[in-house]
Amino acid sequence: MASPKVIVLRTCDGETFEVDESVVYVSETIKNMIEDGCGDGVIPLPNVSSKIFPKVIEYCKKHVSDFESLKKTSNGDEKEKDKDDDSSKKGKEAVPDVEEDAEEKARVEELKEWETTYMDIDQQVLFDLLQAANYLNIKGLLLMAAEKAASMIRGKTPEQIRETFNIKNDFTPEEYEEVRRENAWAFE
Amino acid sequence: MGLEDLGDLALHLIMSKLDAKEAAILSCVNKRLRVSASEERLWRKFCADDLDLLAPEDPDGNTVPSFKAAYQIWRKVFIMSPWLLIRRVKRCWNTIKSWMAANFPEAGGTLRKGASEAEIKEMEDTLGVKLPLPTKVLYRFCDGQDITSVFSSGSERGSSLGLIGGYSFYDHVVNVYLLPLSQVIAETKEFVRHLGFSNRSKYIVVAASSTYGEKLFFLNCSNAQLYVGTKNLSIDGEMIACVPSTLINSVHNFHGNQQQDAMLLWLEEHGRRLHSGIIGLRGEGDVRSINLFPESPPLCSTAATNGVQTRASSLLIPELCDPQKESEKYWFSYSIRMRLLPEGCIINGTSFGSCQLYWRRWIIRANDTVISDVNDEAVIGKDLVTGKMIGCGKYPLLYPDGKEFVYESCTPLTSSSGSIEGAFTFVPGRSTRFLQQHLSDNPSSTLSAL
Repeated sequence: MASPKVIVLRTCDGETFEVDESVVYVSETIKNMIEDGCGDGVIPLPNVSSKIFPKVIEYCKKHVSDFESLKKTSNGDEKEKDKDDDSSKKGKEAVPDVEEDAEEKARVEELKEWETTYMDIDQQVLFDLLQAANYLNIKGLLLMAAEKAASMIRGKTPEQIRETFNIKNDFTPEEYEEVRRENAWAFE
Repeated sequence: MGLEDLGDLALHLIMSKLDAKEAAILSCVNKRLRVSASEERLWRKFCADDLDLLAPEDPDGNTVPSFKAAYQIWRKVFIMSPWLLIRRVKRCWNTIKSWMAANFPEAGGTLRKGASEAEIKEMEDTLGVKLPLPTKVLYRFCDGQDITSVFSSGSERGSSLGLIGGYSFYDHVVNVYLLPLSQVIAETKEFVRHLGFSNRSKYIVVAASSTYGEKLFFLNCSNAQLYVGTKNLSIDGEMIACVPSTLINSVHNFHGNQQQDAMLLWLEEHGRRLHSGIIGLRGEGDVRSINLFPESPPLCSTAATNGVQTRASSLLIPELCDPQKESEKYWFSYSIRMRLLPEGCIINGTSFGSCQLYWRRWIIRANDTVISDVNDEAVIGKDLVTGKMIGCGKYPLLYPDGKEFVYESCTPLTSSSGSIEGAFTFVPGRSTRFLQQHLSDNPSSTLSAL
């Protein structure tokens, strides 16, 4: 196999990053750009800062390596590399199901722990991450970050939510009364 | 960069991880969030998740302008009840109604729309009771069935469309339906008057067999348990509890979704059995009904020998039980079904296109004590033309056309558990061959069934 291709990307504040192609492929946006032929030059990322980009890449690296380890367990199957196809895993005969399950369980456990550590971030980073994942179209990261944001909203009153996220109440008194009345059932 | 500065997609993703209540609270935070939290696709999801509601409708089935409006109306209408209980009851009815729509639409059509708060209050005031909350919500979504029954004047035969269904053996035909509130009032009054129960009685009649006036189900409004009358019902009001008491939780805990009374548990279990195929429809001629004899393991035993398959299951018949008489404390009915599998009757490699029953052997036990041991020709049977049970022996002839020969009988037991096990003996072909020759000259197959 040829040595992995390296892609050069430039964030909105002018910094450049060199990353393996397989890693950046986790971003649908970048993947499409490369497939459209932009992979040989520098790929611009106008909506991503150099501050948040490393964090994003950290996610991508973790999730490429998971996919790679999945492929490693298949027994020398000469199948075509096909990202969406699980069948490379099904192709093996030698490994019994029990072993597979135990391996799978351990992998899932480890991933959960990694995610907990990864998401131990402050609000600012969380929102930067949400915006970046949105723009770069990284579904898994977006969902993970959205869940974290949702967990910060659950169980709070509107006032507490405003405090947590530093949001100004821009309703007029009449508007606020109206929206409160509409949703009275939620306040029990 | 804050929560309110996020792009629409990111914001929508976050909101889709909240539940309806949290989304409603979020709309009170600021203008932008109010707009985002009002998206129709979000409320379409909440309506589907919470209520299995796929169209924007109010509790009475009227269409409203949006899913958001629909959800709000539902919450407002039921604000006095725990939302989780509302969802649970809605799901219970959805389970039953969807099964009916798919399998038994003629019966589904008899389900009435929900009773109003006012109608329920009127019933409570008239009878001097207060319905347990889960039952009240059950009636809010469906006010029983419109059924011709032995209680309505001019009807002798009742109906086969009861939601609970029933069974028949010899001339004992049962088909249970849910009473609408108007009949609950009428039958309860009649019963209380008949038995001389005090006016403060907490029992109301909620279900009955439309074909047999002596089978009645009662809800006790103070302990939230469901009862069914025994043989002595009209003599001294004797009843048996229907649902394990330990499951009943009538505590009015506003936030608890574990609040459950016997009626809810009973209907949930019934819906579950219908959906999982434990019980199902039986057709007799053009008339179909829900039959309570279990059809699948483990409550139905099945065995096959040489191509002949037999299935057997049993039911307790509470309206015949007489707890005051030792020998008739428990009455059970059993239903035996036999058919020839498609491959035909195969003996030693030879296949026969039919076989005929000529002998039965069974042993009935109460616990482990044998109380009946039958070793005799033929089986009692139903005349296929008139449908009546015939007392003299019947020798069913089976073809591999999938048609089952079914017969039911019953037996009293002295204990609440027992068994029937036995064997049927068939000859391949037809018994005319057999009848003309000595028994021992004939090849025969014996099969065992429990």
